[in-house]
Amino acid sequence: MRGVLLLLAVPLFGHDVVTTKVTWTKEVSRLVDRRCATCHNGKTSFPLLDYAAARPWAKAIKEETGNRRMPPWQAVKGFGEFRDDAGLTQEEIELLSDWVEGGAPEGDPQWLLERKPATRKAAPRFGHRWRAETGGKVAAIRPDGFRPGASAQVVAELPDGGIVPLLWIYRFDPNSTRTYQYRVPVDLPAGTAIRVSPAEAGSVTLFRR
Amino acid sequence: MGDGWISRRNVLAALTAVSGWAQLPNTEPEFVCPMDRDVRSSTPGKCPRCGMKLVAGIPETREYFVEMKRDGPRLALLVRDPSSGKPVRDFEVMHERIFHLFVISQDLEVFAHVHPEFDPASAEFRIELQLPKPGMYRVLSDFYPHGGAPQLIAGTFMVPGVGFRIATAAPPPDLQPKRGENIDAELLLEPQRPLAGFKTIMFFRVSPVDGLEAYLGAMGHMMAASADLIDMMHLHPVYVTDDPGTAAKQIQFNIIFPREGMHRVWVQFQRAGVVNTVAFNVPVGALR
Repeated sequence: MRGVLLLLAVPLFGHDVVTTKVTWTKEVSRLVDRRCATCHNGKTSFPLLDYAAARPWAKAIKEETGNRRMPPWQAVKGFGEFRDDAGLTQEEIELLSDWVEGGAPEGDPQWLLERKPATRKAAPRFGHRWRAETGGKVAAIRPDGFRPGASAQVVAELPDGGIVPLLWIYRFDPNSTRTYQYRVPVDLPAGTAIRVSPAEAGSVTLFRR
Repeated sequence: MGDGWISRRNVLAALTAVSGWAQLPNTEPEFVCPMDRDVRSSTPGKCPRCGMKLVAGIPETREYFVEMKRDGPRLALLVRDPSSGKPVRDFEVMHERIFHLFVISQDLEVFAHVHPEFDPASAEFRIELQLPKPGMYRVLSDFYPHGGAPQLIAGTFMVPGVGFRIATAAPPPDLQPKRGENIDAELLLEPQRPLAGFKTIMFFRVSPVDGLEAYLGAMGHMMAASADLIDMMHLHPVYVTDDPGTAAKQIQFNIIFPREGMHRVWVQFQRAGVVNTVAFNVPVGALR
């Protein structure tokens, strides 16, 4: 009887079965340093810098990154090209979900690198608005008055009929709003119309510099 | 030693920024498929899943930039190195090509997996695409820059025209068997109702099997996209087996859908030199 009880008790204290080759020491710690450490460093937000701190959050990491709530970048990749794009790539999301679903293993400590977590950069400031009457190069774009939770695409409709993707906001969170700086300024001639789709999602401000 | 090998831990970060691959000292090398990252080996060789050459070390993710220019049906893509900003001219062959381009229309009706030609003079990849409908098109550029890691870079272009508007598709579920050019494909899901964030096994029962062959180095290619075209995933089969009791092959893909909602899944199989592309609409639920 004692043997039966012990057998029944094992799953309660057992670890998750590891079914992945993705590990904290090889891949995930590097991803966290690059993508998460500017906030999750124990100062700005709770720490995720080492395995002991991150492991209890594994399920939440999978869910938050998969649903694109974290990192709170909000701009969909490949719709406008921005400097210091903090959004995860599809492969990074897949890597994290593979790691978590595979049991979130630590891996061999010899693979752990000297840590160089990314640090937060000061956000550039933009004060000169772009105006459709004069046109010119757009250096940055900022969502304004977006409804919380709203998703919308912002495009520029050029006088020659061309349409340029400017920004795609996914599930707007006013606590994480920012100004997005283009990697290369976008030249929009006078007479360009800026459209937000759907229009009721909110509006944007464009900056020359 | 080839690209991606270093000898000192303290220069690791700097070198990986150049090489894209890193090997720590005093460790047994582990060889990883650049594309299927869960495929590992203690010896050099080729990925059993996709045929790519295994590379020693840890892939270092750096996103390359892809600039797109569209002039009527002509599309040009220029790849830039994220460190130098210079155009990239040297690419590794990946699945028999140096550039794979996936194009999907916002209504999910247009799907193309094409291979733009490289123009050495301009460093651009060029292709002509006849796109009949105005609207938003999402693209995925799949390439492997020399000295870097394989890239899957999302992009968007707009096709202007009468009635242009951006709209998200809302297709109904469609898990019915499909008939391609010269194959039949049936989809079996495990679990039957996929859940976001949890592994789904997708078995494609493909018949007839005579003449079934690799297409671009793999027994199948899958593109799975969320209906809003935010998530776009490119996968290869993990197993190809005989289907017990039938005259079909069972081609298995493993996927974790990141978000709930409808997903359109295109799969490509080749038989007797003919590429078959069939699509299914897979609803993905959430655990509540």
